Amino acid sequence: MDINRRDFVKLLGGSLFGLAVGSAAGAILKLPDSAKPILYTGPRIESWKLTACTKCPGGCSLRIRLIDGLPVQAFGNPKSPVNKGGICPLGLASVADLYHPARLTSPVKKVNGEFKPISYNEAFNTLSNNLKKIISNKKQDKVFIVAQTESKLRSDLFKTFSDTTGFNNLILDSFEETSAIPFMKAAGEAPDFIDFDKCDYLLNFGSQMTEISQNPLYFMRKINDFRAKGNKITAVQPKLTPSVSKLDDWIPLQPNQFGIFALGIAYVLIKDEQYEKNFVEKNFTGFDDFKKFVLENFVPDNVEKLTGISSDKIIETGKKFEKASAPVAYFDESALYNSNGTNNAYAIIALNALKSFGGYGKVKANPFTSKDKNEAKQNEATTYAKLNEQLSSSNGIDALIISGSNFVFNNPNPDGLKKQLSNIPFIVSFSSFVDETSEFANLIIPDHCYLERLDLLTDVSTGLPIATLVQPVIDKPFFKTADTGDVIISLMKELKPDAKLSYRNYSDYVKLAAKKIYSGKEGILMNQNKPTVIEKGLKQIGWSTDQIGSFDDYWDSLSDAGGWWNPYGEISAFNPKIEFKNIFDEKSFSMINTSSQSKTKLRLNIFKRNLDYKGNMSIYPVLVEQFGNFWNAYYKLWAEINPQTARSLSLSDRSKIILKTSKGKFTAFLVYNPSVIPGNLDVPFGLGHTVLGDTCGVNPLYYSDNKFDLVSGLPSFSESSVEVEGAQVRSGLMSALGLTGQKQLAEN
Amino acid sequence: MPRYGMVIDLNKCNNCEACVTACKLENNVQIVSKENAEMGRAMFWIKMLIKNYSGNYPDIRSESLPVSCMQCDEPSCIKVCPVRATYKRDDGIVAQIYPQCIGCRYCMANCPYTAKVFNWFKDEQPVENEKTYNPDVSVRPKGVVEKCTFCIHRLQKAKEQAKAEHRKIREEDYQPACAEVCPSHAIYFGDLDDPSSKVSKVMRDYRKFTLQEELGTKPKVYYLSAMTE
Repeated sequence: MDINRRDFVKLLGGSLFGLAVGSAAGAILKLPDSAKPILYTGPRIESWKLTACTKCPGGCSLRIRLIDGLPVQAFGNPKSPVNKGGICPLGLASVADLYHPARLTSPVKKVNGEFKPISYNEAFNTLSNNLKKIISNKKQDKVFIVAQTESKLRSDLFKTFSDTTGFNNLILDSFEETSAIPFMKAAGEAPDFIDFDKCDYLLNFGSQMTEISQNPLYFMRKINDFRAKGNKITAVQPKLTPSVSKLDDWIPLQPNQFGIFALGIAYVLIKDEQYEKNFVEKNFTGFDDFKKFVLENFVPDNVEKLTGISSDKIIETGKKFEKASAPVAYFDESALYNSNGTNNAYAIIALNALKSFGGYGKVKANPFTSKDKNEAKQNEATTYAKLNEQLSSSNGIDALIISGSNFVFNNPNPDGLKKQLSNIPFIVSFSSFVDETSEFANLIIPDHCYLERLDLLTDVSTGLPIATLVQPVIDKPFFKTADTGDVIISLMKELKPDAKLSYRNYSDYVKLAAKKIYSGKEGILMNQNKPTVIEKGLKQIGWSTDQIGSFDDYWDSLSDAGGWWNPYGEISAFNPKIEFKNIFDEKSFSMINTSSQSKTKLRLNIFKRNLDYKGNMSIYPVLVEQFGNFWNAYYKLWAEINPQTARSLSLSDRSKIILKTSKGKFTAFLVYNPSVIPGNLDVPFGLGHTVLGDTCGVNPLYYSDNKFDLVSGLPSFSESSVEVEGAQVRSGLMSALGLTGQKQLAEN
Repeated sequence: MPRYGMVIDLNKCNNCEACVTACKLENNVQIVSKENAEMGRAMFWIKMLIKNYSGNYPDIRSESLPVSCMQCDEPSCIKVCPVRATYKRDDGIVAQIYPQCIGCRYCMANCPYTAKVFNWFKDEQPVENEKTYNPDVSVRPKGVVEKCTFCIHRLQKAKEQAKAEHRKIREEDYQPACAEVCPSHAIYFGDLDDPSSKVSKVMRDYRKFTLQEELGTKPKVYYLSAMTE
C-alpha cells in the first residue's frame, strides 16, 4: 500500500488520539458491531461527503467530515447559494443524531405499555392491516396524518399518499406550508420570495428572519446587504432579539395585535390616497368594504389606545410604507402563534395589496411546483385546528399517522392531548426517537437519520430555484430503521395495488424529481462556476456547452456537487387576486386591549431561540448547554423582565422565582433585561422535555392557556397571564428610588 | 513570519452563536455537568456577551459581541505563569503547553477578558458526543487551564498540506472553525501583516476597536462596531 507523508502524519496523529480516547471507547454505545473495529483500530483516514441539513426549512448544503468512514463533524458547503459555507448551531450539532443513545434501532410495538422490538415485516404488516381494515369499513375520514417535514418532495409524497388512499385528513406541518395558509386562503397562491433587488422597505411582523424562518442563513446575508444599500427595516416584534437589535426600528407589540397595527398602517395609506388604485380595483375583491372598515375603526388614535403604540409612530411607519416604491409587509408562521394569528395575517396581506405586493416576487417556470399547489384553496388545507376539533368530538379518530412532528411538546394542553391520544385505537409514528408524541404510538417504524438517506430539498425562497441533495454519507444505515418515504410508497402499493406508480421506492421518487431538472437543461451544478454573459447568450440562441450526457452521468455529477441551482432563473411580479370573506369585521378584530389587568399580573411571552426548531434541541447536549449561556442560566428556565417592572414588584435580578399561571406553578431564574416590554415576562421555549433527550428545565407552553389560532390551530405563545409568587407592589417612593425587595430588607 | 489576527464585523454578526457551537465541537471543549455549570464552571472558548444596552425603552438596543482569547501581542497571562506553560509563538498565537500547566490559574486571574477556563474534572463528554470528537485535538487533562488557540491544529494541517504541494500557505488554507462556519461571514481571519490579506484590509475600517485598549495588551482580535443611524 502506498502511503504519503500526509497520510503518515494522520496515522500518527490518529494513533496518539486513539490513545487519548482509548479509555472512553469502552463506554461507546449505539454503534453497530460492524463499525466498532474501525473505530478502535482504523487508520484515521479523513474523507468528506456532501449532503444537506434537514433540521429546519433552510436546506443548507453540508460538508460532512468522516474519519475512517464515520461522520464526526458538519460544516457548510461554500458552493451552496443558500448558505455559502455558513452553518447554524443546529446543523453543527446534528451529526450526533447518528450516534444518539436514545435512537430507536428497530421498529417497536407497544406491548403492555412497553415498547418491544419487532421485525420490519411485522411492523409493516401491522400498519397495513390496520389501514386496510379502515378502508374496508370506509372510515378514511377518521384517519389523520400529521407530517412535519421541510422537504417539499416528501410533502408531495404524503399528498400523493393521501390522494391515492383517500386518507384526506393530511396535516402538512412544514414552515412553508403553514406560513402560506393565509395567502392560500385569501389569494390561492403565495409569493415565492422577497425581491430584495426591488424591495426598498421591509416591515416585518414577528418573523425571526435570521433565526427561525424559511431560510435563516440566506436572510442573514441578504438583510445585511439590504441595510448596506441604505434600505430600512422596521421590526414589529414582542421581543428585541439580538438580530432585531441591529435594525433601524423596533416596534414592541404583542403578536395578537399585529392585525390592528397593520390596519392602522393601512389607514394612513388609504387616508393619504397613496395606495395602488389600479391594482386594488382589479385584484382586491371587496376593497370598498375593507376601506370603509379601516377608515371607521383604525384611526391612529384608536390604534394607539388598543396597542399602546403612539399614533405618531403609526403615522411615521405608515408614511415610510407609502413612500417606498416596493415595500413588503412580511410575516411567516411565527405570526400565526396567537389566537388571532390568521386574521392578523389577512390584515398584513391586505396591507401588501395596497402597494400591489411590490416587493414580493414569483419564480417563473418553477421546476419544483407540485401538481396540487392550489389544493389548499380548493379543499381547505387540513390544519391542527381540525385535528384538535376531531380529537375533542365524540366522533373520534380511528388511526393517527405521525411523521416528524412532536406536537404534544408544542402544545399548551399536553394532559388533555395525552388523554385524547390514548383513546385512539391505532397510532403509528415514524419518529427516530421516543418523544412526547411518539410515546403514545402503538407502533414506531423509526426513520433513517438524515445522514443515512436520500432526499432532494427544493427551494425558491431566494428567488432562484435551488435543489440541494440529501444523500447517505455512510455505506449503509447503522440500524434496522426504514426510510419513511419507502414505507409510504410500499404502503400505497399495498393499500391500492391498482395504483399506477412510476417509482418503486423513495430513491426512485427523488431521481424522478432530479430528472425533471435534468430534462429542463437549465441551471448549473453547485460545483460549477456561474456561466459568463457570453456563455449565457450562446445558450439562449441554442448553443450548449453542456458536457453531461445521460441522466445516470448527470445523477453522479449531482451527487458530487451536492446540488443544483439556476442562477439565471426568471422571475415575475406577484400579482394575486385577493378576496377576504367575512374577515374584516369587528368580530375578527375584537379590539381587546390585552395589556395586563392588574399590577401583579404579567403577560407570559414565550419566545424561541435559533438553537431549537419545534422542540428538537434536547437531543443535542452541546446546544442544551449553550441555550442559556447568554444569561449564565444553564440547564434551567430563565425569565427576562424589564427592571422597571421588576422593581415595582420587588423582584431582584438573578433570583429564583416561582411563577403561577392558571395551570400551576413552575420555577424560573429571573434576569433583568431593559429591552423587555414592561409588564411582560419573556421565557424561552425549548426546555422541559419529559421524554426526549435532556429533560432539564420547564416547558412554559404547558403552563399557558389553551388558546389556539382558529384557522391554523397553532398554539398561542403570548396570551397568558402569570404572577410571580411573593411579588409585592411597591410604594411609589421605593420604586422611584429603584430599590428592590432584598435591598429594602437589608436597609431595614 | 505571519502575524495571525481576527476581525469581527459586528454590523454583520447576527448573534446566531454558530461560532460558539463550532468552537466547542472543533476543540472537544468539555460539556460539564449541570451542577458544575451552575457553579460557573461551564467551559466556552468563545462566548456571546452583551456589551451594553443603549437608549431607553422602547428606543433601546442591545450590543452583543462574541468574545474569545484576544491573542494579545502583550499578553498579561504569560507574564504571571510561573512555569511558562503559556507563551507567545512567533506567529503571534498565544499558546499553551498543557503538560506543563500546574493549574495555579494565575493566568486566568490576570486575563482582563476572562477568556481562559479551567478543567475542574477529567473530560467526560455526554455519550451523545463521544463519537463526534475531533481527532485532531487532544482532550485536556484535569487540572489545566485552556483557551482559544485560533484552532492551531488547523494551521499545522495547512502547513503540511502546503509543504506537500510545494507552495506557500494560502489565506483560505487556514481559518479557525468560528470563521469558517459564520453564516453571515462576519469573522475575518488571516495575516495582519500581509497588506493584501482580507483581514488587514477590513482592519483599516474606521469602525475598528479592540476591547480594553487602555490596558495596553494589544489584542489581535479586532471588532468593527455596528452601524447605527
